[in-house]
Amino acid sequence: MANGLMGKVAAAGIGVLQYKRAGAPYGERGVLTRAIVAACEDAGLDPADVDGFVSYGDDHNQPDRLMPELGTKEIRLSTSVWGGGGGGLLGAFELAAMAIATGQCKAAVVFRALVQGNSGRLSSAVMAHHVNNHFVAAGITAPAQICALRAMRMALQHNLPQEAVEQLVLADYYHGSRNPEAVSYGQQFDIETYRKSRWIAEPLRLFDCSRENDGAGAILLVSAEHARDLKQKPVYLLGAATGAEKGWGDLLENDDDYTSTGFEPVARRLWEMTGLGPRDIDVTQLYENFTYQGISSLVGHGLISWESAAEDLKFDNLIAPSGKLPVNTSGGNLAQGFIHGINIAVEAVRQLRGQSANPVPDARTCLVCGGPGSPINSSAIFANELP
Amino acid sequence: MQKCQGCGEWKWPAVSRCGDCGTWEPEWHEIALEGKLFSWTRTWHPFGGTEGIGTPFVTVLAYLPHAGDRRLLGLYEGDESLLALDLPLVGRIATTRFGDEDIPAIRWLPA
Repeated sequence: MANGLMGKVAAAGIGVLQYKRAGAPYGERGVLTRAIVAACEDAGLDPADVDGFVSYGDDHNQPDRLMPELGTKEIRLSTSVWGGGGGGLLGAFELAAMAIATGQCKAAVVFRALVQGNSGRLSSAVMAHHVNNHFVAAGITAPAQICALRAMRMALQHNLPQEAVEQLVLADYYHGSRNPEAVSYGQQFDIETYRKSRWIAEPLRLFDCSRENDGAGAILLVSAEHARDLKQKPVYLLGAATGAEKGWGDLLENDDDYTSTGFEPVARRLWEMTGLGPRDIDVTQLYENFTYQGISSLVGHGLISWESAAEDLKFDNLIAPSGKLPVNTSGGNLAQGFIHGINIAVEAVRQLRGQSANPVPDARTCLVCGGPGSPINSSAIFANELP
Repeated sequence: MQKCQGCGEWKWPAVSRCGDCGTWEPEWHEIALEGKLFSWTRTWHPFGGTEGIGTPFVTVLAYLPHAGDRRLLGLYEGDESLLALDLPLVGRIATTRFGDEDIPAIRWLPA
């Protein structure tokens, strides 16, 4: 099994700007440029020296158009992960790391930018990637509805109790309420607020759904040696995997295991390439586009099983600092903010630097899962020390 | 519904080559619209493009036991209290209004 990325590359800088949806004070390129410059300042690296750019999810910001404002000396890597959803999130890290580890480029930013005034609604963009007359004829025009069909099957096939799903929402909002950068900062959120919220598509209520923000996030990756010379404590990439296996993909809802979110082959390779297993993960950043998909991600990585879900998904178990399965320590996509998932990767870096608003004591490893239920999904493990 | 002329696998979504046995040009077969309920959702939010249907409405994903359990989406007509896994369903061909278009569609009803 390939393990050529193990500890070769590290996150050296992070930059995020987040606004209310349709509330960005700059255009999408302006927001993105500021996020990239912030990531470089965080690391202590001249933005002109960034020579690699990787994104995902049909981001519209072609790197060559950023050159005049960044002062880019030379682009050596300019690419994106196929697919319209968040499944490419960690695949972008995988590509950037492969390029750095093989010497194709030296300093790469993984980025995602979303400003409604430029790119429209994210849900519409994702659906434009997947939807066709088969879906439209059945009234399906939004990701929430497809995920609702899958969530309903999870609930019915695996007897997943609603109470278990609610615990994830409560944990996210608890973390978000303590994070000054979260949309839910300072807010009290209780179970009645969730239960009284309106249906979107059953079994999903409003608070089961991520709601997009305007903004941009950028994470600067360099070689591990290089990172040790920069300002911040390096956060090493131990491994990253992207993909799908036979019986999964863009199949008009004909995926073999409909309650899966497509992570099984990705997780299998991730464990093989890092030599780690679910018990070695100290904290997890889940991509909860929708709650049920987040839970299925945990199952797909072997952190819980469908049988154990009701027992494992308890508020006390899911929160920092005391829980054994701390997730979404920034508040996640639900309660921190949603710039197509880039936020959860930023939180992984913060958590492993000891800069999280909800620190997990002595956390050394962080699993990040991107995309649940996308035709292509990806995951990565970050660590603050090399094994 | 498509079926491979080589290995007999039912194919959906449609393909030009069977990835299992390598045979090109699967044959199209006319099949009965009879299935069972695999999953469902009731949409309450008025998502763009659903104006011609009106909320709330129920979407069903049905599997077809006589066609390799391949699944087909459709709007549901009938008693919503019956919605449960494996509910026997029959389909009829209809159209769904989407913008200015009438799109060919399946309506699933309790059998």
